[in-house]
Amino acid sequence: MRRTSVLERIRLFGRAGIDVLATLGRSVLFLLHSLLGRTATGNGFQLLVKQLYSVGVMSLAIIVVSGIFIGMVLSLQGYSILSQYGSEQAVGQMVALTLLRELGPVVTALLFAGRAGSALTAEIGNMKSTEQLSSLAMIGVDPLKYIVAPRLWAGFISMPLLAAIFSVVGIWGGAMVAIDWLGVYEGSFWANMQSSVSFREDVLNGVIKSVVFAFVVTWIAVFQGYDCEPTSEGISKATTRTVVYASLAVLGLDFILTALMFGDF
Amino acid sequence: MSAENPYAVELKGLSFKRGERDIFKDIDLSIVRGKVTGIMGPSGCGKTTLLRLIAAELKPSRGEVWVNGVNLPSLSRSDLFDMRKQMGVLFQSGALFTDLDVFENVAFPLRVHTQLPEEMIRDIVLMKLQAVGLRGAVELMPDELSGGMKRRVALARAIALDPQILMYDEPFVGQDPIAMGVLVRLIRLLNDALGITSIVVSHDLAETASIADYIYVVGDTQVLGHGTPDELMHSDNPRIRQFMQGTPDGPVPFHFPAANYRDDLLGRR
Repeated sequence: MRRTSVLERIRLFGRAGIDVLATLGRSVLFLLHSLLGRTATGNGFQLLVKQLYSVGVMSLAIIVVSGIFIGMVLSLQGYSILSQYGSEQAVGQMVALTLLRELGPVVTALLFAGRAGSALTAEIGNMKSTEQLSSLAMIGVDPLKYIVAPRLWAGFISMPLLAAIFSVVGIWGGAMVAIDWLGVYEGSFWANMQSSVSFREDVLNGVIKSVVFAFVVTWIAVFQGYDCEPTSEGISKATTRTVVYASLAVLGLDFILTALMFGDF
Repeated sequence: MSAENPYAVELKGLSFKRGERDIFKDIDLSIVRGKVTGIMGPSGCGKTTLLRLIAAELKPSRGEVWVNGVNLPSLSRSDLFDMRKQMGVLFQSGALFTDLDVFENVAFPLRVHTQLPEEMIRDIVLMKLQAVGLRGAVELMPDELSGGMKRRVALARAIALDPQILMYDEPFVGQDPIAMGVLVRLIRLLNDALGITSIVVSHDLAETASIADYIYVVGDTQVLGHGTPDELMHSDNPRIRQFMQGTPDGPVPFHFPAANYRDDLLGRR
């Protein structure tokens, strides 16, 4: 009896492993079919612009507001620590480096997963459950090209731009608190920032991070929608999976990328 | 090649499984070009699945699906989408695009597959909507329509490109008597006027029998029988007779397989 149960557990473990690999395989094929080969029937550019609006422009408010507050908090915390060493002039440098290297790309990706990623999953899942995807396929239009590809490209394009906006407004929020409220000398705030931030080391690496996160988060979001069980419970689970998987992937990848970029191996 | 073949659709040795459960086992079915063919059977027997197999939305576990002389499961993804321009499917829910109004839903296939000028698209859309009696609803959004109206708009969209094969998934469900009568006549009229092949999946016996030239009865993973509506009404096969006459007692069980009723109630399971 005991032996059977152990065997059964091994079998279930093996089955779970096969399922994970099968899902990974499906998601890679899904991505290749969506992005490669024949382009969408109809006006692909118009579809892209529509998605750029709903995925990118509609995420602007949450990105801008979060960016300002995070910049302001960084400035407050930085000032209270640095002033103990008499280095409060370096608060601009600290805010800029933290935002450009880490918080800009990472927090934008997390917010994007919660706001646009979950919406993408729910929208595509709902299209699946109401047979709109099947209906498109029966009209002779590939839903991967018509529905999925514009959303993927919109995510890839808009997230790095949102991350850049996040960092810019974050630095502006930080400057507002440090200069106007805490009384840090404006000249040293900006001069320290300018002298310590390197375009290649900091800005470019931040952009690379946000491009990688954009790719992973959007891919997870659209695949979860397309692959979900077409029921209300299935869509709800897929939406949750999008936020959880995307957040974990962003944080895990951030560690790997940071180690590669700044690890001095 | 396809014009010489008297059959628009042929299923050869087709099997389909969902998980471990057999839905179809080695079935053969041929649908004659230019006729209305009904596919009937009890609920849950896989009629809609059969429609999705013919449209190649599902891949069979084994066997061939020939449509207009082409074996669909052997086609590449892009060839399959090209092939589907010859087919139209009316889904049970209508499956209208919720972000487009009625006009744009019907115009959609014309916009993506043709280069027609806007005036011509407008005329075609209005003609198709007139045929289903909904020209007046041209500006409404799908969520402003009833279930039956959605299906009629979906029918207008399905015939927008004048397909060679038109498949209807339970077209009579949820229609009021007037719409039902119009729909029955419309299916027949479209078939005869446009020379298309119609496949009607339904369990509405009277309506399907009144328009179908030929009927297949499916159930229990098999094709139980086929023939003209008259032949089936007078069939010797007790399973077909039971279905056609709608009697609860017979070889086709009404109940889903279950344990003994008494034991179940007494908690002896």
